[in-house]
Amino acid sequence: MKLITVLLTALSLATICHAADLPLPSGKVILTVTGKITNTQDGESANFDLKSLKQLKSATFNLHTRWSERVHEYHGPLLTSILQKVGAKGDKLRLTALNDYTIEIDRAYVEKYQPILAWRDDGKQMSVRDKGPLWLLLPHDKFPELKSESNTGNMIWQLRHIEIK
Amino acid sequence: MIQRSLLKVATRYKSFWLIPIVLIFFISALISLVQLKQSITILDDRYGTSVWSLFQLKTEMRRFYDSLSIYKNEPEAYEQVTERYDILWSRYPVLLKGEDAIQLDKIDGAKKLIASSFKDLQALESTVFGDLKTTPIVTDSIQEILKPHITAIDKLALENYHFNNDFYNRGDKRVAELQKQLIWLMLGLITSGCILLLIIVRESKINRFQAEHDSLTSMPNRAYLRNKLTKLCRQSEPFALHLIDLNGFKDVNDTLGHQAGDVLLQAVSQRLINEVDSQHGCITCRLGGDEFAILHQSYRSQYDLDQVSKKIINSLESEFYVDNHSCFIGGSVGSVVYPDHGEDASRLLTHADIAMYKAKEAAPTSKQVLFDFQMDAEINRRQQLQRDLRTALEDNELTLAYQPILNLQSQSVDYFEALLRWKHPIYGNLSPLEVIEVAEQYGLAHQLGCWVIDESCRQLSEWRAKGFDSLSISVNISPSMYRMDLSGTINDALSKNGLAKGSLGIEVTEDTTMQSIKEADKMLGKLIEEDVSIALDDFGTGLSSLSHLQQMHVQTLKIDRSFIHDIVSNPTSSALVNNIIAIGHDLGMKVVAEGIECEEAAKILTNYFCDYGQGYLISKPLAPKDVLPYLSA
Repeated sequence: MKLITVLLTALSLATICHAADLPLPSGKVILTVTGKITNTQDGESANFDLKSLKQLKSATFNLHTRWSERVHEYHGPLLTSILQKVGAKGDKLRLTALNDYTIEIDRAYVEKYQPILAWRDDGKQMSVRDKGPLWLLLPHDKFPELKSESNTGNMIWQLRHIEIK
Repeated sequence: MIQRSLLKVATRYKSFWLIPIVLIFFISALISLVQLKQSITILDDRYGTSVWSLFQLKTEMRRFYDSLSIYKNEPEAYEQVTERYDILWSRYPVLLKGEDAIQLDKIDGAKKLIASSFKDLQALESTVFGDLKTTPIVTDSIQEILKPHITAIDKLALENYHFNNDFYNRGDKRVAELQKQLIWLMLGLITSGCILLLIIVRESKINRFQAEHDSLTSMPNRAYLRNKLTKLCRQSEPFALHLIDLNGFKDVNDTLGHQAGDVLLQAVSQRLINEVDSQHGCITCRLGGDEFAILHQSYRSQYDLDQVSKKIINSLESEFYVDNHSCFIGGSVGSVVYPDHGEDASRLLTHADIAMYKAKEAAPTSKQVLFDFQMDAEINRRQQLQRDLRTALEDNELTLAYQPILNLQSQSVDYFEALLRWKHPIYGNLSPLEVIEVAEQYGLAHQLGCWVIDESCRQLSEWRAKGFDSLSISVNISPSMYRMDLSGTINDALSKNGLAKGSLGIEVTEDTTMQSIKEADKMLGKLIEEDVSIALDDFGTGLSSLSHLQQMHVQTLKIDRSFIHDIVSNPTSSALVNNIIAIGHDLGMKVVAEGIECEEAAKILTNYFCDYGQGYLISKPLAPKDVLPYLSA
């Protein structure tokens, strides 16, 4: 009995500690993750402001996308680091933009290509007007197959919501 | 023959049509590649997003418009209005920069329209973020401004959609055209490829034919025979194989020239094909030189074998005409039967070869010999002797025996004839004839000859050192020694052993001398110069004519034992011997009688003034150690 109590205490402590990793956003929420996740703020969703995203493992891509005339330097957290942060358990991701544009990708796809959610373009924070606040970018300079139409369609901008399925 | 000439023609014109075919192949391949690239470019062109982007712009414009309508009634929806405004804003740069912009450029005025629409939207910014927040009624004026833009963008979106459809249709048509051309190119590619493949197959066929056929007669060659035999040996059907060596071919070659020799070979092969192959279902092959083989697959009995071998010999013995010369050749045929005489190609060929050599012994008479394993034993014995003779020569295991030659007039022994002795560990004492034959056959004759000369000189010098100053030795030389520097060898041996010239004599036989009369004549002359005395051995048994005696530079005549044997009982022999002695003396020669076995014969010979005698009556050949005791006795 005593043992079970100790274990339960440990478990609840662990949960609290884990939850403490995901503080409530102080700024404007720009990304909400829901679905099969273990780490939430309200039991259902994990919400991020820019500040909390900046703390995640990030990367910089120098890309020439088809919507620009030159190479831009994009910077933002790796999608995998977000998935890790929220304790994502599902195999599929459903991503939705501000304008309800939606795509669905596999977890393995994310693991393979390591996309970022860029919030900075050439050192400037991206606004909604500039495809911000978050733009999922694939490193198509390193993987030529990512230049295909279907992969280009996966580069969702004005990303607002991720559902783990 | 027809096949052969066709081959020649095909080979001559091959390069003429090979070049265009290869050209067609490569040009077709090249054009196909270019076309494929074009098709890919056309197909690549299809990937454009301007249609999508324009419809998105249209949607966002409507959404903004709708959000304004909602806000008019619900003031708390203001946030949505600004968000929709921002999103709408974000749709413009997509169409004004990058790939969509390039596509849009293809429609007149499209970009200008988008740009002016964007400008008007940007002009609304201060209103949307200013007045609108506090005064919802402003929505009406904003919507009024938006309306014409919505209509214009709608129209443009549709126009762009149709344009792209047309464009893609054109691309489709072009791809279809390219595909049609591609079919022709592929046809060229496949046809030329097939032709090239055929050429390769044909070439390899020709190569195989050439590898398995003789170039002079177009008959199957040794390689063909070997392959065929190997195949036949896998089956249980019996068959016979006849190896043929022409008799007298060398003479034709030597006298009429190689050209004539080739013509003769062609005639022989033609005759064998016509008379043996076609009638007995055989295959004739030329194995090289004047050697042929006949594969006799229809063989079933000894009778068949005899029929075919008779046919072979008959066809070879009939007269041939070469360059208007008639010539007669013949053949030695060695036959084997599968599986009795061997179960694989190599063994059959070896055994047929052995039988053929056996048949060759009867040359120039044509003969057919069927192999039997006794011959194999003989060959084995010969090969064993050959191997052992080599080591025996190296290890000094051969010996010489010396038969005294008595001066019949003075009754003194002046010289000895050296006779070769070899006691073989398995076969015992071998006859000198066999030893010489083996040596001749396996190229050891020169070595053997040198050894005999050397050993005789050594022995002579030993005896002379012991006081027998006037002794000399004569040695027998074998046929192939005519081709070596005999006088040089003799001189070397003499000087090595401290002997003066003239101490050593040689004995030659009529037959060997006659066989290579040219070489013999030259060499004997040289020997005379070097003071080497020459005796003609076994006189009267060989092929020589008396006239040759004159030319042969011979100082001594040795009358063959067959005459001496009958001298007592047969008056004819007696008369012959008397006359031979007289002729020899008339020609200035000394005469030796061989094979004296009784006192009476010795007496007769002495009366006929025969100079020397040799035989068992005087002494058997003596071992070296017995010579001095014999002389001292």
